[in-house]
Amino acid sequence: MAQLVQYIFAGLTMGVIYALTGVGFNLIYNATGVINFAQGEFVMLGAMFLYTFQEVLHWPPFISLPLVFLMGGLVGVVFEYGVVKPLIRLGVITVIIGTIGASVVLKGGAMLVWGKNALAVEPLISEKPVAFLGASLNTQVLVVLMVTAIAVAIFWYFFGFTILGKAIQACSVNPLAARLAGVPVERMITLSFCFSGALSALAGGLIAPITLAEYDMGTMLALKGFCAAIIGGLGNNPGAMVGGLLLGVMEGLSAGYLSSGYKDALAFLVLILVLFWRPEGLITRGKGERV
Amino acid sequence: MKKITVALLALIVGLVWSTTRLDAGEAVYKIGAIFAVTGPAAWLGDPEKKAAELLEKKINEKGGVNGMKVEVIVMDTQGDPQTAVLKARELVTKRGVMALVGPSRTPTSAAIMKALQLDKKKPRFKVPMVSCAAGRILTKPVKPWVFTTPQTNALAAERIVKYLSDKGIKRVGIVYVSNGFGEDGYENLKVLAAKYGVEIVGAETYGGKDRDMTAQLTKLAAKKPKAIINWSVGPTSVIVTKNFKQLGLDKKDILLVMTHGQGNIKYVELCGDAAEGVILPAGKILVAQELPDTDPQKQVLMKFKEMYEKRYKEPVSTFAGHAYDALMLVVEALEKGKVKPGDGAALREALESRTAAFVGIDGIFHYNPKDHNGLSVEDLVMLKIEKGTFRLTK
Repeated sequence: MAQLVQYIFAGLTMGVIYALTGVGFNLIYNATGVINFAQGEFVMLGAMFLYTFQEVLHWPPFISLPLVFLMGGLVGVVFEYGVVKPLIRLGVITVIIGTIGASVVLKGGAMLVWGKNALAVEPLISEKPVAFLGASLNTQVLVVLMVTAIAVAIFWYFFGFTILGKAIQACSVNPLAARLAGVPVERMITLSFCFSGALSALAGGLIAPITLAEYDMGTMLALKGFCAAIIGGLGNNPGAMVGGLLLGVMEGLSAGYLSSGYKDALAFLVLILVLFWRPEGLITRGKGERV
Repeated sequence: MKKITVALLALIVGLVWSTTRLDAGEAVYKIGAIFAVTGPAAWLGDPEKKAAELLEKKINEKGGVNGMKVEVIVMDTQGDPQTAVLKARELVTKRGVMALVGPSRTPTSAAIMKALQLDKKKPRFKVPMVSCAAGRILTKPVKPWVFTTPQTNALAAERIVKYLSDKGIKRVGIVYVSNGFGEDGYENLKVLAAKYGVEIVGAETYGGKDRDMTAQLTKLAAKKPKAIINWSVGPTSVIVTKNFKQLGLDKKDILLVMTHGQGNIKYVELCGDAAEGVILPAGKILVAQELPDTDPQKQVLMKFKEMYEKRYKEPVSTFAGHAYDALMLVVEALEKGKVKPGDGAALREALESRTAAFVGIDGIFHYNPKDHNGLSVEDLVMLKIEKGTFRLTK
């Protein structure tokens, strides 16, 4: 029992990060139809920003974590203006290739700024493990779960109950109709990038104290985040959340009960299976078709 | 016009003559030092280069070797096998070195070994190489022209298993990274555990980019081992240490054992409090001042440590020690064998048969025709991390 709980929490920790990254993929996909291959680099930058604010400038966590969120938003906007806007008229494929290029540039840039060595970040609150149902949990894991829950609640309120949030959704459902209804589509797309960058950076900041910050940490996280988005159905935000958690827990359980060597293989096997049998994702709302 | 031609001709002849004189004179021992000074393994190559340059200066200040100066030509492999081969060829064919010191990593060393045919009895270039890498392919079986200085994986594994067995710890779990380094460690541990009567209750793996190992550690801990050995380098070893503490396994009377790869203060810094109580095998340089005065290596270690730290204002590392041993073994062979400059074949003979019981940084070397690493399990000590520093533990 204690072991099972331990495996599930090991999975949830990573699962939350996959989920946030997956939602980041979705926001950009919904706004532009582009799969952003630099999404993992946003996560990496979040971790690096937290390192800079907390370890270099010695700011307290309640200032540095929101700052990481804001900086992530800024990175998202700069990314849109620098990479996506100039290329989007050439077609979605060109933009996707552009994002691959951008990810290499961001990774190389981070290597030059922060160096090649892994960097340690102090935990946001004390590192004492907590006993729970016989399992031992890192308090940082609880922080990750809590902050994510708050972020999800805010986003849920924002997209469900505010005019601005509904406008962004309208743009992703039907940009032309949204424009006719007076929604400034361009600005909504920029906002989507902003949120996408902010959420991914937040994920990076949350995970940095657990896993160290490293310039090349983004690639694997992006792959897993992409898996999460696919499992939940690309473009479906609640789906990506569930997909991420599912993927994480599955990794934890397979490392525990099968063999730790097959952990990654299993994640990608599920991805392929989902693409075969339920390409619309495991969690689908209604039967609306995107045109 | 004629005058100018004659003058020019004289000049050219003069130049050619003077350069050939320089080459033929060979009143210096030319040694190529080839390290991963930049690139992903710069943390190895940088201290090695610093040690080599410092030693060149010190040797020549003392009047050189056999009355002749030593010239160390440093080149950068960037940690890349192809670059390493190019640089090694340049050193051997254009710069005329009689020995190679380095490179830093096993893949680069192996590439040079193949390219220069150093694994053959009669290679094209008779240039012995004293590598600072530990991979078993370099010394097992013995390659005629290749020597190594670091303690091997097998030695580190033996030191660990011996320590555990001495402490009466007979049940161990193993976690290792699923690459060549981790698998080599695991294979060694398996063989040695059987030899020392230690039972391996379980072995788990993880990927080099994995970020959470709590599942693997939980699974191992359920099998009630008395110690868990982790075999990896880099960030994964830090995460294993943190996860181990997070799961409270230290309070369940389980010992966490790392490898010689964590014998680097960077590891302790990255782990923070989680590193407290971790046990690992390492060369003696890390705890030189704690050694008893009767230790035959103590003098050599303290001298090098003070010299290095005074010059570079950074703590000396085991890697600087690997380069010290490689270069000083060559110098020792040159002296003991009365080797003439440029005679690589005689140098190889001397390395193999005239350097016995050379006291170095990594240990006391016993190079012989059957062993081109020459170290024994006694050359490693077990360290415990206490209050953020390495302490000697019995």
